[in-house]
Amino acid sequence: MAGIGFTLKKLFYKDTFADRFRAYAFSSMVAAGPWLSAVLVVNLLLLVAEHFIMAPSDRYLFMSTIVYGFIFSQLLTAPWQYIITRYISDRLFHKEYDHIQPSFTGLVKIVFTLAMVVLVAFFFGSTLPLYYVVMAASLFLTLSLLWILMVYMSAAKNYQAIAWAYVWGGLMSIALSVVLLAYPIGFAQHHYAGNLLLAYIAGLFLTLLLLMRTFFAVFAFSNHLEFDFLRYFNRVRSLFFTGLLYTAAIWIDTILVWNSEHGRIVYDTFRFALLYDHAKFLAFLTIVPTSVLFLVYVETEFYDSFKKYFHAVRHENTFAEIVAARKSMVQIIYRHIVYLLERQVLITLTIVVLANPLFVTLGFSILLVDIFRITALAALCNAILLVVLLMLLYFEARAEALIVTAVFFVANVVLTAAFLPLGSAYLGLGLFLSALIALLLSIWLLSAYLKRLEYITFTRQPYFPQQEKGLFVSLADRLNRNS
Amino acid sequence: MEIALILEGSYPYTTGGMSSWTQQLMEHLPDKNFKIVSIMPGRDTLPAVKYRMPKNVTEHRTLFLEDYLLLSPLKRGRSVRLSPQEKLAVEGFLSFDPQTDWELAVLTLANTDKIGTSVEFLKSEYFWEYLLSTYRQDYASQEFNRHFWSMVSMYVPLLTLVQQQGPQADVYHALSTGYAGLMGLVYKFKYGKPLILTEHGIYAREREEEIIKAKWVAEDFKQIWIRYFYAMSTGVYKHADMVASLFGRNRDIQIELGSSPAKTVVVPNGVNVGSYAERKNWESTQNIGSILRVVPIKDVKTLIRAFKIVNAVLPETKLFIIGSGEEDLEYYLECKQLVELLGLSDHVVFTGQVDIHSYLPILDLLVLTSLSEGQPLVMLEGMAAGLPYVATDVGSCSELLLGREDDDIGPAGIVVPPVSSEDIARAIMTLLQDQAMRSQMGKNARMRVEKHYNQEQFIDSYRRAYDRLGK
Repeated sequence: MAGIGFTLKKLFYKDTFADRFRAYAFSSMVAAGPWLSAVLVVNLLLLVAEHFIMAPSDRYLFMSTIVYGFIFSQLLTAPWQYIITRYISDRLFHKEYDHIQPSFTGLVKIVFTLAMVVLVAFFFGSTLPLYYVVMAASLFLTLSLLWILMVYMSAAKNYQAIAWAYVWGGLMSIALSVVLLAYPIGFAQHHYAGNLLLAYIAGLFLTLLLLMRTFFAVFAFSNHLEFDFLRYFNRVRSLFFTGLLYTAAIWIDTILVWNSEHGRIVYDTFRFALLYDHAKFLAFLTIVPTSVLFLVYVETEFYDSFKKYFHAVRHENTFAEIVAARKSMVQIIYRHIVYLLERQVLITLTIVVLANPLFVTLGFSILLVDIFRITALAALCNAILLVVLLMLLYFEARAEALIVTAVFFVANVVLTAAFLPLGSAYLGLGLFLSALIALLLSIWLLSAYLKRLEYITFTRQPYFPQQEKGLFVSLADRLNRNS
Repeated sequence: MEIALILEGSYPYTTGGMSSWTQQLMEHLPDKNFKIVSIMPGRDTLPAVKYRMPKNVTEHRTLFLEDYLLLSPLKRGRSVRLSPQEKLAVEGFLSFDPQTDWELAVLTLANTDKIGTSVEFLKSEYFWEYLLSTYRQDYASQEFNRHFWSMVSMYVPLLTLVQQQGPQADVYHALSTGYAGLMGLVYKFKYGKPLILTEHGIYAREREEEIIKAKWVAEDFKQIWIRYFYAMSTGVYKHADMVASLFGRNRDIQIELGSSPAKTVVVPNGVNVGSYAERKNWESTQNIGSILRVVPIKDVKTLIRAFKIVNAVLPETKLFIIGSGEEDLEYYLECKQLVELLGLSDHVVFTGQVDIHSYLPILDLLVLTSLSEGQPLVMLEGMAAGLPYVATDVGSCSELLLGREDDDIGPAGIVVPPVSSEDIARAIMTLLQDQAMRSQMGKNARMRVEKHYNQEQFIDSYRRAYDRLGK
């Protein structure tokens, strides 16, 4: 007799949660690292330039080269970083270590190609001497590769290696700059700028080499599937655009100001806006301590309570217990966010209030103060916004993260453009207001998301295993076959 | 006229009573067209087709319970907008409430425009809220994760199946409740046509027995599964236009489970007596036959043990085990090993799948030692050939051999309790050694089949049912 209904012994209940909520860490270094280091380095080099480069145009050339290098290398690589972070985490979890080395090679090929296109387009028709263009291009390329490499190193949690590489690189830059100041290379033009740039690039290059050496030591095996990671465009495409939009959002106001009446152009190649750039970089310096603290918090305490919640979901708990675990986790999150907010507000307000005397003491131009005050508030919003954004990404609220970054970007463009004609008193207001709007939106979205966390957790699972399909999967396959 | 036959785990992929019955039905109603819907577990485990379908089969489609695999498992849930009545009906269906509004529930769930695919529906907030509320009501102390996945894994194949397209026909005829019956309901409501149910065994009861024995289901979940199968059956009993079974006892159960007596009938199996030569020679050949598939439910091992006892007393005897051993190779090998172990290798023959007509003339009697039966076609065939039977008292076997209350034809064999090799052996030896009894019982057997279990009454009953309902 028939009756197959019950012979279906394949109850596909299995630990499909394993797919998501386990050792996965969206490395916060990916989102915060680049601009953090940009802020630190640029501020430092600004000081150096002030003291050692006499000719103003050369000073501006040097600063712009650095600033452009940082900003545009980030714009180029950030979207890829967001995708590759996910890819690496998954591979590490599945212990598919031999996938990681080739993905770096493949990604570098792609980024390098894109970078060359950008460089050629940018420097075409530039009046700068070739040697300088080459150095500037090297800076751009080295930084791009570094941002990518950092993702790999931090996913493998090689923080020590990272720190040492930067220390050695930094020391090299300093040492070389001291040497070159005494015995400069005889560049025909842009004497000091060229030498300093060379010193900086050399150090950076050393950092890159050291990190690459560690990388190939740690990920020694390769399965030669260099473009396997492209299939993640099928799964997590929004991450690419989130990375792009976030990076664009924090720099678009700068670019708009450069192209306005407040901006100037140096050697027909680089643009800058002296006061605005300086003020903004200083302002972002004020959130470095909090941001670092937060990164540590994310990698440790938050991650632990995050894991506990999903452990509770998977193992022998009634629904009431699961909800209780979630509520306690959410409480911890809010408590920490509030704590960070309080600290940062305190720091920012103090600095803003004391800006006048502080600037005089530190030898900064007093013209910066007004802009600084506004951009400091913008930095404050950005610091907390980053926190919330990372939370959203941890909880796989990718659509929400994309909306927030998109709103941030659009608001910054619109508001900055709207305020520009109103004069220098309103500089930075676009950034501040858009960051504030994005922040409020992100908090609202996160809290709404967390309220529905159980529904999302359970129903976002694949209900049964399935083959990966899609355009990018076949693209990845094809590229893998040809490489 | 077009009749859609809906079968589960059977024709044309497996041999057996129900498949033969189906083939017989279609072959003897050549003026009617048949469309077949076979419901099978999965594409990769699909056996080969075992029957040549007659010319009046105009369509054959196979629905796979595992075809949810063709859907995307990551598709997001969609918002489900239903009226209060629709919600009530759907929730009744999902809670396996036999009193639910089946028509509304089935039509709503089959409507992908309304609720999305099965996966989309099961990821919707609506379903989530429903699941949570029933969980809180009845299962609040259970592990939620396990509960969620158990329920989802039940619903996914069920809802996917319900959303499948079906053939257009004038009458729908489901040959079991379960998924076949459910699809019968779906088609009936969707196309507004009558539904006939014929049950060879009581599906819900059989599933209940299986579930109770199953080791891979958690105890608390067994109740849910059992309720699920009973609810599905009740739906069909209530809404089918005609409910048929093979013998009285099963009819009683169908009425008990919700079928109204007026539409519940008994249509016994039938054989074409004319195709079996009337036996004239009753001299003993010392050959015993058993026509069956070598599977555990037929308890072939008890048969072999019984034969050992017989063979010890009557060393010239031979046992022919006539039927396929393909369905359960492990069990088949165990039986062969038992034969060897008991030293019966020279006296026991496994014939495999053969034409029984060639063996019937050389056999003295037939034996059927099943643990569970409905109304075995093989018994009717053997009886038509004028052979006496030794059979276990399961299903309708005693009714066949000893007749119903108003039956004055004598016994056609000896009925024994199941699993008892001594009783079986004794019955066999009685028949082997008493030619007069053998011949009388054999004649009775043929007479009974001619009178009550002939092919004409079986075919006629259904012809009349189709003509009545399908107009």
